[in-house]
Amino acid sequence: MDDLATITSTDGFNPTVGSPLFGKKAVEHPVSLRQAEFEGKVILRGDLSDEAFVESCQTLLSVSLPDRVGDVVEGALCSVICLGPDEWLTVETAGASKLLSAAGDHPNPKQIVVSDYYCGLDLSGDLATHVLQKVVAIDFDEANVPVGTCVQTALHNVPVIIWRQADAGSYRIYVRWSLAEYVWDLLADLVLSEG
Amino acid sequence: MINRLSQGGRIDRSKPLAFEFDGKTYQGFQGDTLASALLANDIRLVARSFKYHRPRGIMSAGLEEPNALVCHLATSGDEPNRLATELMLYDGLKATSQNNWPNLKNDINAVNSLFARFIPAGFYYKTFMKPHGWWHKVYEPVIRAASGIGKSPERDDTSRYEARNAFCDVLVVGSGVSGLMAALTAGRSGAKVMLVEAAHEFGGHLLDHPGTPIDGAPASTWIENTAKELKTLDNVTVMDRTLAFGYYDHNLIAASQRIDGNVTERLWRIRAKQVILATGAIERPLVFADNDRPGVMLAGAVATYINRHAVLPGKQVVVFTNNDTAYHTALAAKGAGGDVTIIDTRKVSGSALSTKAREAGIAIHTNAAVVAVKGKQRVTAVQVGTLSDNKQAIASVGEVLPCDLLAMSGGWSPTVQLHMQGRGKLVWNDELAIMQPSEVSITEPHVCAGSANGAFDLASGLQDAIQQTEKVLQRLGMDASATVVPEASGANDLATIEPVWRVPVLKGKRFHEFQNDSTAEDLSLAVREGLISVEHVKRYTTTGMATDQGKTANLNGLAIIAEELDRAIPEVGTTTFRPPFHPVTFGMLANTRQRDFFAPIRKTPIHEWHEKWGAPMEPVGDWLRPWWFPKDGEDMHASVTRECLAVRGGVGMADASTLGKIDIQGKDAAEFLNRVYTNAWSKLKPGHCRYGLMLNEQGFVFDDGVTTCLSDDHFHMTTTSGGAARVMTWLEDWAQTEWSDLDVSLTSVTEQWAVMQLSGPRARDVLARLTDIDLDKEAFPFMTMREGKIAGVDARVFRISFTGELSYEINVPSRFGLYVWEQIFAAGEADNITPYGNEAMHVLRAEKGFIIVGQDTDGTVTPMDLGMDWIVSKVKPDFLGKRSFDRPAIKDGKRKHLVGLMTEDPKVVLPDGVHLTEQKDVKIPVTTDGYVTSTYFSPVLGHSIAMGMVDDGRDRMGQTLFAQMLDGSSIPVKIGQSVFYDKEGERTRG
Repeated sequence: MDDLATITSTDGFNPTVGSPLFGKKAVEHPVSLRQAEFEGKVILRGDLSDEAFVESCQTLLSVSLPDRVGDVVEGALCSVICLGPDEWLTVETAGASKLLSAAGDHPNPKQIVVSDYYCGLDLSGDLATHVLQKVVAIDFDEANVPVGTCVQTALHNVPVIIWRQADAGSYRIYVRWSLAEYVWDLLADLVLSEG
Repeated sequence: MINRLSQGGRIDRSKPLAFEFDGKTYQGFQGDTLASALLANDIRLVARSFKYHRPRGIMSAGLEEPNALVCHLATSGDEPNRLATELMLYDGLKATSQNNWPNLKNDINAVNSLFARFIPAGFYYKTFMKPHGWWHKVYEPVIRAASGIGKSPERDDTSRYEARNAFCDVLVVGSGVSGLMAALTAGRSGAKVMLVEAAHEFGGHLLDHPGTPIDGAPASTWIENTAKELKTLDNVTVMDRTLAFGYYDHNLIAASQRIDGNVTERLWRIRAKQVILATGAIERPLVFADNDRPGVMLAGAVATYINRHAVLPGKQVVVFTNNDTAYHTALAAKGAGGDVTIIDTRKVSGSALSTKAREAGIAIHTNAAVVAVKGKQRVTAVQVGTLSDNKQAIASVGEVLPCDLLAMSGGWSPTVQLHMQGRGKLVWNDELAIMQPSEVSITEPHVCAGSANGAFDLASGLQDAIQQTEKVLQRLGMDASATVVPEASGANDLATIEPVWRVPVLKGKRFHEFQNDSTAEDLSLAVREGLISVEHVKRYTTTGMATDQGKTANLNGLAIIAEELDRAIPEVGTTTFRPPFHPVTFGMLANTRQRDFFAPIRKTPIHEWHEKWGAPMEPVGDWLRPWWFPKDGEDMHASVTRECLAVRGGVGMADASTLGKIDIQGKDAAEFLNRVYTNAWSKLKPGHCRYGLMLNEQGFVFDDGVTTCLSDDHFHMTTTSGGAARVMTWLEDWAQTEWSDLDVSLTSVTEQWAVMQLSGPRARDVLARLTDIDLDKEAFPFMTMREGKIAGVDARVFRISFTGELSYEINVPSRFGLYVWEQIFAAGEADNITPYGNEAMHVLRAEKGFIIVGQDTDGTVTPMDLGMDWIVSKVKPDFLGKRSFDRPAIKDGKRKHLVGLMTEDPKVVLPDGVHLTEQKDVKIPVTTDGYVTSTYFSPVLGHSIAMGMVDDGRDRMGQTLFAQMLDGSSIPVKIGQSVFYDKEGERTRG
């Protein structure tokens, strides 16, 4: 049950899929705020000193697990974000779910499906960092949060994962489903106030 | 604008501005503050004092202003207690005076002055002692009505407030000569620098000396060039109208920025690796008779109004001083056309400045003092006296000098509030008569520079700024060699000071603290009454408290206390400065955390459906949960009754997505559960569920929920909705710090799952229409879990119940939550499926005697108190809280037990929390026998029900107690079992 394939696949059945941001229109100016497309997401738990775990993950993901909190490794199948010394968030780019489900009865890694737990928001543009600094007490100087890394922090008391993506002014924000609308509305308000 | 000079100043004369004060229209210019514009229009009386309602005028030109507090009638909302000296003029500005009635000129409360001798410092404490009962009903309301300055705004504040987090290597606070020099030095080194300045332009007091040469050019040019260079440096951010008001741990500086645009005010939270406090100095008033009359101003402020605003606030100017710095003001006033006289408390004044003053035709009275001030609502004359040798007495009374402006200077004090908030210390400098920062005991990485550091003359201010900057750059591993000290000269005029802390008086009040109407005599009284600690004197007299924060009052107060105690000033010590250094708005502090964004709001995946139904929402922690689902105009009672009966008689459905959910994995997962729950978990088989009670170390109930075994090393835990985060943190704490040897991983999965509770005798039939899971009660018994498809969606279905009916908790990934809810609702229409809200859920669980942690428990309740001994393992070697069961208070003490309570009248529903007594008639104070924790009307029983905690409750079954109502009446209730419905539990297992 706890593999991504069985959760994300519905065997050809295609029910209405909900979103916490249903009906929200993307904001484009002066900063772009959009809802990210749904992605399969799995938390992996394990010990980096456990060779079997490391080997298993590498086989499944085709990338090595990042070993520093905040580091992100992007592979062809998925991106892996190091959330803690024994915790990684894998985000599928394509087909990763099948790879993870292929782990089958292998004792490693411990997998927890969180595809619905997190909702992704994309904030990008020249003023994106400026907007984030209004509500996040993290120094987004590139020396502190380089492109391709992430931070776990609070956005107005809401726990979030902020992933600085391909360029310095582009962020993916993962927020829990229940709080996604609050964070969206807040960011949209801040973006529009810049206009 | 009769006091406006025909030329000079930094105002823009091409931009005239109209403004209103107390309903009357005046003119000013761009670059004026409200204060400078009022003075330009010869408005002297602008306020009434706090306690005596004495007429007050503008005393200063900056943040230290103690008198000129006005109400700013901004279009976005009223702002009480704005300083006229910091409120920049704009076209259409409206402001009113405060603390007067019926008007500023004829304030009826000025009568207080007549009784001033009867209301000295501390009179409240002595006067309103008796009769004792009058305090709350008479004295306090009257005193409260009479006290305070400014009125809370009644209009909604439509301003937009924001916050910004900023980070830098070096933060420079203040843009006077030292601040600019420090910022330039740090900026040229490549460090990431921020410079904040409270005023609307850079330069500080140097703007009052525009012609002073620096590097061969006028100071104004140096300021301009330096600011320009700073703005061109990519690594430097400069901000004006930005007041650093608080210095907190780890070099967090809070600053308030006033903005013209979409945002009105912004809170900056600046985290700096190093801080340079170039906060300048504040001039001290002289403490002499009636030194608060409108027209008595700080000498430096008069220079500011002349040089920056082209305003000479009076024509006949008397400068009263004990040091040379005020001579600059005398010369400036003379140069602006004033008729100037200097009264100097020093016996000899032979400095270059005094020579220059005499050459300019200014008369100087030495060893003299102002011993009386004439005029009440504006100064008209001063009485000059000759001082005795020790300056403690008046040797002779001299002439009366007509004047309309009295400029005073008692010396200058470094602005050290932020330094002290940053855990800095002070040291006494006898030469300059100042408390200045010492270099010891600084725990927050900062330095002070310039006059804030005791370097008062221009050359040493520049030198000090560079030296201090080099120090912080060295700490950062950077080099400051790119900057050389600019060439400048000038004497340290403050070094000529000969302090006179209290000027002898003929008659009249000598205010040392204008903000709270505290006088030198108040300080003497406090010391006479035995208050020898400076902190006690401060509180007795309110010296330096509230918005003043020691700006103008502190050192004069300390010195007077020292004189009274016959001690040296350093022996008296200093008081504590607290943030904010200067008043800031609540709106700015709240910034974006208001209205829709006041606090995070959590919604379930099915929220939209509830809203469409029109269900009122109940906040549960951060969650919004549907409270009840009204139909056809039903009120809450009717709706809840219908919902409850539907669940008991047919089928209902509730959104339980808010339940906390934690995924627990690892080969030691069962052992971990054994330790955190009171009951045993080792033998729970996959697919089976178990209820658990979690205790804290004290043995008191902490949380509860059902945990299900998914596989031998994998469990799914549920917690209370409000307790989810607390439980997660608690479990992580134990897993990571105390039991790190266990192989167990905890992951929150609350939002992964949308949860629907399908409950009622028809639940199985409805669910059967949507699933391939075998729902037969033998195949899928109570307290088990099955996986399968519901409406085509992969689901986990738990046969557990919080209603006491046949129930299924259906978990599907959140994105399918709304879909599956709608599918079930459609499938149940034939059975009249009924959505039920939080209130009905509470009633249904209470009918069954199920507890809610936090409602039926209060952090002091054990499982035994709840009658839940059955869930406490007698064989497990240990679990959290077990050890505390051996404490005498729990083991042998008299305990309250959870019991059921029934009223005689079935329609009477007891109030929540009502107390219970054995006697019908009681007299306060009374020891109660217990209290009600849950109380509802049970539709299925047709009777009110309640649960409560009662002393030895289980031993008092059948006994009648009395619920004591707030109106004095009482309601008899009978103690019984806490399970009111289906005591055998057959319906749940059905």
